[in-house]
Amino acid sequence: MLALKNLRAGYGDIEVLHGVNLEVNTGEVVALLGANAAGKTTLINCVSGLISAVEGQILFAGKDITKLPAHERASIGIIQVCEGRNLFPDMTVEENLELGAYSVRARRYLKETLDSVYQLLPILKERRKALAGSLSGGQQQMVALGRGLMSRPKILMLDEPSLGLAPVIVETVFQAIKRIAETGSTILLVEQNVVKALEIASRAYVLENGNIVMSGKASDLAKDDGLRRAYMGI
Amino acid sequence: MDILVQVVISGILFGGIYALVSIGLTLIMGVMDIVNFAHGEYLMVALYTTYFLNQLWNVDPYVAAIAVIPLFFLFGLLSERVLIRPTLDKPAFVHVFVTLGLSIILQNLALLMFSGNFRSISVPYAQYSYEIFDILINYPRLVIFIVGILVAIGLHFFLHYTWVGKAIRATAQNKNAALLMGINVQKVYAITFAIGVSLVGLGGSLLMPIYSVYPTVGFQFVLVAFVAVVMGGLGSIKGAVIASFLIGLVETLSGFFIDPSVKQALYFTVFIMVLLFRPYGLFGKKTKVA
Ligand SMILES: Nc1ncnc2c1ncn2[C@@H]1O[C@H](COP(=O)(O)OP(=O)(O)OP(=O)(O)O)[C@@H](O)[C@H]1O
Ligand SMILES: [Mg+2]
Repeated sequence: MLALKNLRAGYGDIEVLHGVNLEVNTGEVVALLGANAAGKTTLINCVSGLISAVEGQILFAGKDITKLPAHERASIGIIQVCEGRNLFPDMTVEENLELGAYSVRARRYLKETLDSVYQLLPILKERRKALAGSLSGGQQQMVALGRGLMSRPKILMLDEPSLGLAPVIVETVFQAIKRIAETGSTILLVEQNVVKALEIASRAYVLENGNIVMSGKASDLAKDDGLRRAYMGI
Repeated sequence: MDILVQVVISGILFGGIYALVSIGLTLIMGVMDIVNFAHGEYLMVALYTTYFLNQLWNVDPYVAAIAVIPLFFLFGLLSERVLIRPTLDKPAFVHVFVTLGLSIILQNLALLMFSGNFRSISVPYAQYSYEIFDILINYPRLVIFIVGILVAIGLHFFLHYTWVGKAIRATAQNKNAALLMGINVQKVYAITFAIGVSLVGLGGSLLMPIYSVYPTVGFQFVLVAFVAVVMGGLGSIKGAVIASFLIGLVETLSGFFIDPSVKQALYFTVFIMVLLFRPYGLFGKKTKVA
């Protein structure tokens, strides 16, 4: 579904990603783990087109999309749920969700998708008339997830969905992601919460200073001593 | 008493022209984050367009308005493409130079081509008035008022109930998120700018029956519009419209009771008072909304 080949990218003269190779197959949940400033957000922004690759290739469904503008990537189903939610604060929850279905491809199924999103994340239905900016952090994250689903993603990239949330809320958010995964979605999950992420994912990559330093089956990585020491504080 | 009501009404009616100018200004500021210093010159060009359509081919100003709207939409698209887009990711002062530059160029072109003379047209209905309870309601002013209100309402529905409108609001609130929704932000900018310009164009046509045109005519209108935009809250259409009518009212009242020369001092006083109590304007929020 998605493949990064020797991807290099950064900001101005500063290179952040130093040749990353990564693959996500259809129907798979892949975790991308790494400490602060490892380059996880940079990688996702590169795939969604918010920043452009300096070198290397981004393949999506076999096609090279390295040069495609951001809005066109969204309309072919590459959907990013940003770190920090990134909602439209002065719009209602429902308007936010509707905008998720902005692309022609998703707009056709707006009603159906909205129903299924409300079923999957009932809290959104409850709060649908509320302004997104007035919600709590956890609810905002739910809106962000729901808005991502509204786009009928071919691949859903979640950037630290648990960031800044209380532990109880983190649990709810991960439950929601699990339910989304069970619908057969293809997900690239960026997380610092390594334990939780490895529970959901089938495979994982570890990014350190812009290089992939480890990858493999989630269950194997969960047992890896180095990883446990570095990221789980064990 | 009657005369007071008379003045109040004609002041409010004239506020419609300020509304048409400031709606476009606030929309462009709220969505694109740029201050269009050439906004008043678009009004001037619309006035001249309407003037010459009338002088050369005897086209009625209200008929001219129908042509001016699409024409100015294209004019807006063109200026966005040529002047604004290349500078969008540049620092704010670059936009200032570009739009201020455009303003000066248009003024000087007008001066060169049409001289500094005040020009006006005479249409029979300029003096028409309806009489309701002894109050005279001037026909062209009533048209300005009604169109101003209709445009504001129409734009509200457009922004809230169409996909393009929602895309415009989304872009104003969070540009990156809009991109990630698949919204072509560049196109949104172009459309926003073109809408703003066509509204000010419409204002020019409606103004022509009761006003004169000269190269610097835009300045006083855009000055009022800036005050209305800030007073109403950046990016708030409702705010700009209400502030416009308020300024129209203050202007005529002060012109009538005190002296026409103090009208600007007076509405600036109102302006400062509003900002003292509501620093983000009447309907402003900390984040921008269109
Ligand atoms: N807009 C930017 N301009 C310049 N440098 C940036 C920018 N955004 C990020 N960086 C730098 O790029 C590096 C990688 O940042 P990135 O946000 O991708 O890390 P991350 O893995 O997502 O971290 P976090 O877990 O904190 O979200 C960091 O050193 C950061 O300082
Ligand atoms: Mg990050």
